[in-house]
Amino acid sequence: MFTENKEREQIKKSYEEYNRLLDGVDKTKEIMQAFKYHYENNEAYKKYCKVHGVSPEIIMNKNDIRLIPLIPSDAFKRNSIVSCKSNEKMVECTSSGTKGSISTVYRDHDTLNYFIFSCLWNIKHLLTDEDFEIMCLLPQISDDNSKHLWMAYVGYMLGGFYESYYLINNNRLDVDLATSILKDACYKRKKIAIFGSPSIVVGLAQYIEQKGEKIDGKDKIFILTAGGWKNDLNAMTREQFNNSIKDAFNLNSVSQIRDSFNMVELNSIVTECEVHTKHILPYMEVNALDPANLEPYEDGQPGVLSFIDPMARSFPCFILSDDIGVVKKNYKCQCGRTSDIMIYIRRFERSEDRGCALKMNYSIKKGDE
Amino acid sequence: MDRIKLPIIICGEIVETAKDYHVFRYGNSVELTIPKINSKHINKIREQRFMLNNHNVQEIISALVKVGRFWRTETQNRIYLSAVDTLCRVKGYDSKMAIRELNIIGSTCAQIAGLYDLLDLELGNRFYIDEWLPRGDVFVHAQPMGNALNIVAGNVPVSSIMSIIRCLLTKNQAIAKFSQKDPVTLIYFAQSLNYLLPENIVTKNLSVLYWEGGDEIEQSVYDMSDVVCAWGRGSSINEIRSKIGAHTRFLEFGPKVSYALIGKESIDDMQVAIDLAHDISLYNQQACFSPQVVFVEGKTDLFVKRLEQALSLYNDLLPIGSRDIDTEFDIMRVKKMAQFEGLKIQCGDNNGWMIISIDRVERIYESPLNRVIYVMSIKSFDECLDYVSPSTQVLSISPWDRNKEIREEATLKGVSKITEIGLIESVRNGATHDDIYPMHEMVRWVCVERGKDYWGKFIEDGPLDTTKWLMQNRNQIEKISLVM
Repeated sequence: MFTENKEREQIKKSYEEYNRLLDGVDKTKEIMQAFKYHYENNEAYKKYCKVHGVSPEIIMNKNDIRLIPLIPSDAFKRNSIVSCKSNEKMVECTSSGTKGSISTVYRDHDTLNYFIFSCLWNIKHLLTDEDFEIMCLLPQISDDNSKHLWMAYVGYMLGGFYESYYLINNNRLDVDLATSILKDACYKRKKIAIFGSPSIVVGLAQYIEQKGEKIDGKDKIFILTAGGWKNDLNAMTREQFNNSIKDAFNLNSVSQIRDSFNMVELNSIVTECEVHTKHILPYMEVNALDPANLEPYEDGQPGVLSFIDPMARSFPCFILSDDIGVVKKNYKCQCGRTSDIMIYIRRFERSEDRGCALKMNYSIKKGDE
Repeated sequence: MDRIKLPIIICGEIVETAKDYHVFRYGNSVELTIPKINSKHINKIREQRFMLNNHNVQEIISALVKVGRFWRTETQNRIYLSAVDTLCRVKGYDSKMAIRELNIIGSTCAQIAGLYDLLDLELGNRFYIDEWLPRGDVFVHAQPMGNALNIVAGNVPVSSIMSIIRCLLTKNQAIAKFSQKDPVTLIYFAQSLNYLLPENIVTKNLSVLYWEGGDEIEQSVYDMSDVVCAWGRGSSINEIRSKIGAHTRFLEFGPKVSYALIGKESIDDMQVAIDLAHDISLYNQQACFSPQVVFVEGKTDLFVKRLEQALSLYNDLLPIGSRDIDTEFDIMRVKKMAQFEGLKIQCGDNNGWMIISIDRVERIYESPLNRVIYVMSIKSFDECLDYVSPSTQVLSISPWDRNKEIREEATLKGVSKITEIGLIESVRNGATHDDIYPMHEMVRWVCVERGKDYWGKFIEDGPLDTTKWLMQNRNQIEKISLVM
């Protein structure tokens, strides 16, 4: 979608508009408009809102935002939730399916643009204004297909704005090529970001250490992780991760290691600053909710994380996630920025993970097929 | 933070201190500390193998009856009160549920006749465990396996007690690894034995302990076990199975699902709805025998109305207790999914119970348990058989007299037990458990044949002389070769 020069120009213009929007964004207004749009254009969501007795006329001000019905993230595993006309060209973005089943989110051109803009904005405001290359520990995708693993597609989109390399081929990471690219970048004193899931970054770091390779990262290498902290990290703490990565790549500081929160159902990223606080974009409404009644908790209390992102057009991005965390509003961070922030704690534990009564799920068939 | 310290029990002795401790957290407010086991503990347990074998089973039953009577009657004893309190704090039980559970545990142990019946029905004759009984032409005896390791699940406290009763009645040393979900039941049971009968052989043959998966002590426990009874989810059971030796007998009580079936005659029967509400509410639906789906023969609306009232009643009779954040959210997200997909839902206050009506099983998203029940209409009583499998533990039915219509095929397809709605928890004398009589599998069936002077049913003139038979047959063999 981003290969034509003319298209790149258009996107750059849209990005400039996006930046202007963020400068003085009226979050409540954006959310109210988005809610009205999806209520009117998405039959399934409209029915859902009616069950809750909520319509655009009810959402009048900032205090009413909490009434907007949230869609559980698992709904995207079983339903096609689309707010556009069926003939619009869309990309099917899928989750990785680590919990067994796969979510599919349909994104049109504008929605994808807003997602990538959120990435660019976060990079510029939280990471660096300078140009850099990205080494994606991801497969290169072909945009002939319309269905993509979301994280791989994110890497592909970033390639429209940064010189990028894609190092996974046939499900294998080309560690030799990765090492060679890093060495070359360090030698030429070019800034380079390594982008991938925490476990694959650890895998690369371990390879480099085992081989005794010397990567002189200093201030030139950034580590950008996303995709969650899965079980295969063997309960490594964040601090342990930071220190081992810093050592493996010889970074000046752990502040060069940044994690981002995203889910395929979310149309913006939530990225860390240099002190590892996850700052929320000014147009997003993120809350930690009481799971018993979905009312937002006061600052600092752990609850179920909900996300309202008004910038998604092709699907209602009013998400009740499966994650538990803490949200603080207007937080004055050590980094000097003031914004809403979130602290991710963990994925919630399903009853099937806790008990011995065999749970049924939607895939129960007749007998034990 | 509410801090609780519990001991472990090694061969009946209470061990409160150790070099290191496990720390379990429950929600945000309860922290429980337990001593870690070490190799000295394991060695002490190892030395006790077969100690119970020299004692008559009546001594074992006598001890169990005393401890059962304690839990039924000593409701002001500090151990009893502490058990109720700790069950509530750790498992989030309402006190009614905790007291009920202790009553059941007490009743399970306190009935002398019931314990003898258990032996009779599971072994075929209770005297096998103490004597050599003639059976056919041999003498048969049930020898204990030796060390019986029980890895319990924690969702149904009395099942942990049942597991060790089976070990003790078959004269096995009972080693119980409790679940983090319920460290309370077994520890307090063992403490009550120590309190009442500190020198008793039964007390000394019970150890209650814990280790974390992957702990280096784990393999030494598996290696000294002659039989392992494992309860829990599939992945846990698979992991345990991979660690035990070829000589160790393995009894698994893995995850199961259960259903209820309402015939058209029972749709408008409030008593049936109340009985079903009882079954759903027990253990907050977390037992293998808890029904997760109700199949209704005919339209469901009327029965759902009855069930709503019954579940509300049960919220008072057997309150849900406290729920942690994961449980609350599990219920809430299932509710939201059902609402998004346009399903009809009835809920109690604060989601204390929930009925989700579905038209086909594919509509089931997940079951968060905790009194969330799916109700589905079927055209005929036997249509429920399409949904049973070897993963189905209990099919509970009303009206009861219709059980004969489906019992053969339902059990052929995998159902372990058919019972009447309202009775899912009661284990009648002679009931099997997941297709076996567990105590039958916890002994070695050995025999002593009779000697030559016993002729048996097939020999006209003795005594038995196998060489003489060979010589007689040789003439016949020679005759055959001459003919050829």
